[in-house]
Amino acid sequence: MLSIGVDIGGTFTDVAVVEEGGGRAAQGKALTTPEDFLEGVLEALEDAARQMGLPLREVLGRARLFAHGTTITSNVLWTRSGPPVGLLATRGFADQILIMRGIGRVAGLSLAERRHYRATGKPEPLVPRTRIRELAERIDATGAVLAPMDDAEAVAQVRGLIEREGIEALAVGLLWSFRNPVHERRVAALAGREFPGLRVSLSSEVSGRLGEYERTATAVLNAYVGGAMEGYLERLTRRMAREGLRRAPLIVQSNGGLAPAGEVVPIRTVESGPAAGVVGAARLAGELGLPNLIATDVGGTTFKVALIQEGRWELAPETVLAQYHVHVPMVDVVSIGAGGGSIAWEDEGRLRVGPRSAGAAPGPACYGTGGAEPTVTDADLLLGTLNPRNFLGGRIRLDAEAARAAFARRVAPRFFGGDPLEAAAGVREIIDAQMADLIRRETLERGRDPRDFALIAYGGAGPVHACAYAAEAGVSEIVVPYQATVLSAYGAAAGGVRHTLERSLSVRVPGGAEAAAGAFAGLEAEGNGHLERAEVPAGARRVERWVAMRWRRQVHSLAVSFPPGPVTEESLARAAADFAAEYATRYGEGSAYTEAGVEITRFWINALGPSLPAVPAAPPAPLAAARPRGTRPVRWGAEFIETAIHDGPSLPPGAAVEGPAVIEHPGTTVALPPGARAVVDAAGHTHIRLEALPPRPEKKA
Amino acid sequence: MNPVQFEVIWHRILQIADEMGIHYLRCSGSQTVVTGNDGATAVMLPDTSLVAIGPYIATQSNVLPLIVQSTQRMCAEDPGIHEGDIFICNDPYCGAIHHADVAVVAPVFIEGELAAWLGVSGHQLDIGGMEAGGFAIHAVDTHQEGLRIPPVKIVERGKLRGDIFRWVMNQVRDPLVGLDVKAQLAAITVGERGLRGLARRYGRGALAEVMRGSIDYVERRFRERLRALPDGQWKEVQFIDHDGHNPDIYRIELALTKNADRLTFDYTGTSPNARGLINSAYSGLLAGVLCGTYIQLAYDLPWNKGIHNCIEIVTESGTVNNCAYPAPCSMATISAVIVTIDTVFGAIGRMLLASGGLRGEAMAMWTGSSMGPIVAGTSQHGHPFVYTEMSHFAGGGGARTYKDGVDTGGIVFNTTPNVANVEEIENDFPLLYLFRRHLADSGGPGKFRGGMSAELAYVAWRAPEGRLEGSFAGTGGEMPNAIGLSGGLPGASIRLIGISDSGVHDALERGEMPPSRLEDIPGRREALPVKHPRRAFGRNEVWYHNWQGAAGYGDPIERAPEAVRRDVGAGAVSPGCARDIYGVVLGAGGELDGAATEARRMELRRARLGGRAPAAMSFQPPAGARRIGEALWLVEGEARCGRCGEALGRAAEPLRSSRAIDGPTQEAGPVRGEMYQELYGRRLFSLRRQVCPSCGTQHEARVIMEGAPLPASRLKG
Repeated sequence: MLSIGVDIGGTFTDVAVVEEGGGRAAQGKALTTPEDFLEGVLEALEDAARQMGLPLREVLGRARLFAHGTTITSNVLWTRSGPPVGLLATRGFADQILIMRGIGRVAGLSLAERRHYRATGKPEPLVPRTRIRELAERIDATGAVLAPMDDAEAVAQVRGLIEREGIEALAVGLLWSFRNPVHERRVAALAGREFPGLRVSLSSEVSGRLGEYERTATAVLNAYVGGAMEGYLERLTRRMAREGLRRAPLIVQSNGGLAPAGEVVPIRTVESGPAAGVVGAARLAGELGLPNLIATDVGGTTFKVALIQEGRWELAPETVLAQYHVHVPMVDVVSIGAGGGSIAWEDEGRLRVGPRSAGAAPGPACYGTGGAEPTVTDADLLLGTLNPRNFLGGRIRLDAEAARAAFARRVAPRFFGGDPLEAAAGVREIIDAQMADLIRRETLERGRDPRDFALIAYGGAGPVHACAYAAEAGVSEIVVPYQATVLSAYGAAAGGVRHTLERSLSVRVPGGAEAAAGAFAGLEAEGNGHLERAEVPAGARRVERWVAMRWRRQVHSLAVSFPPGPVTEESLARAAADFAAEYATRYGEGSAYTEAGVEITRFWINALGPSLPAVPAAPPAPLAAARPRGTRPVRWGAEFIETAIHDGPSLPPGAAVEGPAVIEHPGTTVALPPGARAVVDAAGHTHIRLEALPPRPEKKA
Repeated sequence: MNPVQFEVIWHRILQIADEMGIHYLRCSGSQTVVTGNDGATAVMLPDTSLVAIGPYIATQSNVLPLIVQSTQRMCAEDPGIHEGDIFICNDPYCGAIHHADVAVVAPVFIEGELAAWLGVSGHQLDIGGMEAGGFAIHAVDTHQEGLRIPPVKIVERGKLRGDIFRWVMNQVRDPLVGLDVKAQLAAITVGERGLRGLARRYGRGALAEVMRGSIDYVERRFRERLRALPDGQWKEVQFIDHDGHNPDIYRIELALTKNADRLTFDYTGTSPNARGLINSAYSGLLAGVLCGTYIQLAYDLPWNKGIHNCIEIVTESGTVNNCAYPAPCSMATISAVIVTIDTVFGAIGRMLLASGGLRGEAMAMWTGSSMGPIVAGTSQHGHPFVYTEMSHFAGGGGARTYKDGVDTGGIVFNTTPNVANVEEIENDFPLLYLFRRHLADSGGPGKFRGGMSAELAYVAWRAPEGRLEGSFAGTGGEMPNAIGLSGGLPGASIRLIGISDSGVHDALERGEMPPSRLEDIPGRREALPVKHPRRAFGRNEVWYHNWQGAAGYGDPIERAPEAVRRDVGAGAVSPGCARDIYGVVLGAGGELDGAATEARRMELRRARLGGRAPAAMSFQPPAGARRIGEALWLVEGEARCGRCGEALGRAAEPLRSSRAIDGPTQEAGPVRGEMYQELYGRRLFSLRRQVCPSCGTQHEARVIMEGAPLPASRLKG
């Protein structure tokens, strides 16, 4: 049986086909087709089938799992192509979605962007003020109904929105609805009766969390993208069935897990590509016996980092979409503007790299597609790391002269005595240091030491830079997975059904066992329902419990795993002890006001179906030194060294490569500096150990 | 130095300042720090020059060097400054802005030599003294305002001094202050670790070189920017109402001179020390000047000493924004400091308008004042609390030369503003909000409108009976502070209203929907002074306040009628203001009446001209003319109306022969000070509009006070 994962990215649509039980699997790639994403999907599937030497119909027919990651929701949001949405709010609070907690103007912006006040603004509202109506109803913090809702008013307001404003979807965001959803549900029931066909999105359904702004924003965004998402999923399901798929496709969510099309909350699929990449990395972590892993993804414009600890990833503490703060359980992936397309430029006597990117258009100078500014990819080419004939699987022929000219023109004269090669080396060093800074911050901020982690490098440019940024961050073990260029598709194929359900509730420790038990029981019943509908057999269902804990009266909380089994004072105490330990790890001993005690502020669970079982890989055993295909001069540190060039796909298991060396794969290149040693394992992963950190080059001032 | 190494090390230093801030905020227990991001961090040279600051309150970072200077001055001999020491300080006369902002600073020694200073500062929940929450309304000298710590060694050679810590804790009402101080100490550790790592990797010399080089870089860039701006002098006059004792008015006067690559901020003429808490020490003045300058002129640069190096401040000790000991100043940040920022905004805004290439960077003033509404007592959870209502951090953004200001876009001194959800507040404190919404007409009218502010009201709910009290410290009730550019009008002023016998609590208990608009709340409405000390917050009492809106840009009757129609539809502008200020007439269904609008605008123009017909507006600026305002050009040294071409003055006084029209402040819209003007039975302030005497185009609109000097612009050449 096969598991098939599909991921639609900005440039490429990727497919990973995984044979259950292990072994190398097929990978397919095609250009993404934004006019109709399905075309790109089918082409990528065909590409994978070709590699397997099978007709697509047969490949699909053998699929036990077909998991699909889509950018539909993101696309609707970025292009603002959703329908008119109306909003109902508690009387007196219609403007919360417009006030955006005062932070909407700068949400998601870098510090440099935030400092340019004049250039900042709130997004054009997804729901303008004229499409917001108020209801005379009030519930308080305890969930008590202070003023009951009036059905007639609710119906009249919705009617007004439909008739006067032409809304096609309705969001409802009432105060305290997560604690008592009675009014929101009543609105949904009334709307269903009076206005059948109207898409209704309740804040209490999309989020169980405290915070009317985020909950309402989530409901609004969900209403906005819902129609497009559903339409696409219907077409996908029909089309795949016609092509021979016997299973209903599962959809990749922002939490990294899968859900049947009918169970998907549309907004919860946003940014699912990077999430699936982390899932893929976590699964490889399990196979490779590397439970603590820094997942790093270098693309054209961004560098992304996620931490995997004990084989698990974390959810992001807050999520910002299109400048709206929302409650969407999302894998915690942080990014900075640093990638192959990052532009090197002169800034009044400073040499800068990024955050501006040449992107795919005009692209780096070496693409020969009109880019005139030198980029990181141009540097990689000039330094000999990249083979001009092997970029993106040979799809683009790189022009080294153009790269050289770009550096000679833009950066070399001012800083490097006109030497484009020195300039390229300098640019690489800066970008590698910036990437290392992000790794360092993400680990140190959590009180973790990067030296305790291995690093996995993926994305087209990840393996090119990984040894450099890993060394700079103090990491000495690196894995370049076989699936480096399709890791999100692979993560989709390796994923399982996963529903994240949350509820904000303040529970004191000790003394809160009963309330905590009630909270988990409610969530687990709900989770069970989801698994049931996803046709996960009862015996295969699992639940992960989590709580957000804080020292009472403090504001920030930490995620703490909660033990399975009966919820008792003992299990609460155990979680509180874990919390205290984690708190001390992150912030140091004595950094808490412990006298006030501990409190749980939020409960959540992951209701899980089975995922593709990880097959523990045999540790790589170096059998024989690999034979290079040839050599070329590559710059390492301060000098060019005639370097062995290996053909990645033809390296057999056990092949050992000593740095300096370059290993070329169809979609990426592994740069192995002097002193590093790589071994290829049976699954095709390249294991790298940096025995000694590369010496710092002495450069001309 | 090697440009690559410079870039790598500097990136790391900036990240260290950022990490310190993140670390502090994560551990802090102060609602104002965590929700309001009301904290700051800094990396400094051994000579205290600012190298890098963290992401939050820009004003607080700017004074950390002053605190280090005080530490060096006062502690070098006794008790000495050693490796592993950390000093705590909140004395406004030693560099803090006000008492509530407690800072810790620490020397970083590398290989036995002083390599840097680090600082962390944050607004504490309480600092002792007369009034919970830190604003000592009735203070007459600073000793009444709570704990005032000169630089004191709180960590000695790496060990927390329990005696000092306990002494601090003894003075404050809320034990969470202790947690906050510990969070600050931890943030210092984070910074120190970072700098040490850098020095280990690249050498102490390289670290020092990059820190200095980063300042040189910023200075070089900033001087270049200044050279691209016109020389001249811009005078601003701003006001603070009520000193905590009496509704007296205080003035802050600025004459900003820009000459080549230097800025001189001359505050001569500013009122003497106020009797009460509204003053700021020199620290607040410096913080305000730097903050305003950063935002308007250094928006694309790292903020460090390089900017300060191009600035001179002229000021007399013993004035409202440079008060002399022992003047009280616990409210500095939300009175003298933010109003000082207003003066900087006004002056630099006009300089930018006359700059040609950078005119697009000009912004009218953001929400021009701030406030500290405080509720204290015992919460529904049984513990004592002090809650500062921070919703006003969603202030309005000033109008731009090409676009409206941002509604509820933030507060000017905070790069990362944030307010709490109503649910978060109600979850933690025994309050129930009746509404929190945009305040109609609060954005200053203009061709481009200032950003709206908002209004809110709350009652006590599930509060232990008779245990709540509240106090209030605000600025800008009797007049607006946010002044527009090029004829744009000021935004709203603040109001604080108490309704003691509203019956709302009782009604809620009966299951009735509470009122959700100020005018619907029954009972007797009382205008409360913008400073009032702690008083009981009764069971059926409703407290209402609104904050200031931002100012507009350009003549409101030049605003696109369609934009006004949209604003009326969205409730941002009332139909009355649309008609009387914007000259836009809408039909019964809210649709635009084009003909009536045209007629109405002509009528308004005529009224500005005393009934005369306006001249034709067909002026085309000749080649070589220099634009100095939305509708103002310099043609061969003569200032001309950009609409009709009328000569209005010379560069030295561009609006000399404009027509001045003085009227009540509410000609800019409702909530422009009239409530307090009525309360005090006086009208000290008026709105002065300067219009073209020939076509009636509005070129300036200012709030002026009888007997106070007038603001003015003087361009060189």
